[in-house]
Amino acid sequence: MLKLDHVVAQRTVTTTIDEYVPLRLEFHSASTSAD
Amino acid sequence: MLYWRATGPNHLLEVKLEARTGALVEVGVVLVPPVRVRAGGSLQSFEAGGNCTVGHPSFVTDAWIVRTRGSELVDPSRRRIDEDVPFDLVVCGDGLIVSFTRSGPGQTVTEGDASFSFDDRQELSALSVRLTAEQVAVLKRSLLDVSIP
Repeated sequence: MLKLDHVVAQRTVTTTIDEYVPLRLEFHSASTSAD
Repeated sequence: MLYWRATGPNHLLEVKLEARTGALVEVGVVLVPPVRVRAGGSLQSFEAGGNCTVGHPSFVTDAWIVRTRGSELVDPSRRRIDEDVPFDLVVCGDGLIVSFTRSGPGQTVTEGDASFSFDDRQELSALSVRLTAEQVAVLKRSLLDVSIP
């Protein structure tokens, strides 16, 4: 199970809802690296 | 990226984390059995209780570090951990709750319209997201077979 390590600064949240994917949350940060 | 999936024969929830920090990148509910979906009242009951922090959750990545030995150049499957963890979806009038356990929150992390609850072992117990009336109507039609006039 996912275990919380720590809390960092808020990011921008994008929510997608449609009839095929009940929920998708994407979190965006200017400093996010493509690792 | 690191991947965690709550998965089984008829359910799938995918989580993507930053490899370097463990910060949450994406959550996707892909498949849920009808028996695990129900209607609820409002998100208020979910949000009540526990210590509340505003911010973005970053998760412990020790299990992935063991699997990848800290290297980014590994078989992509070693970046993914699957657990047969069932979850419930509660479609409320103002949002959606994804619940893994029925235990009360020990800590809640809120971030915009999203909120994450953790139990007393700091394990993710639920998440919620506030939705528009139109988004709730889509979920009620697709998951609960309820038409909103």
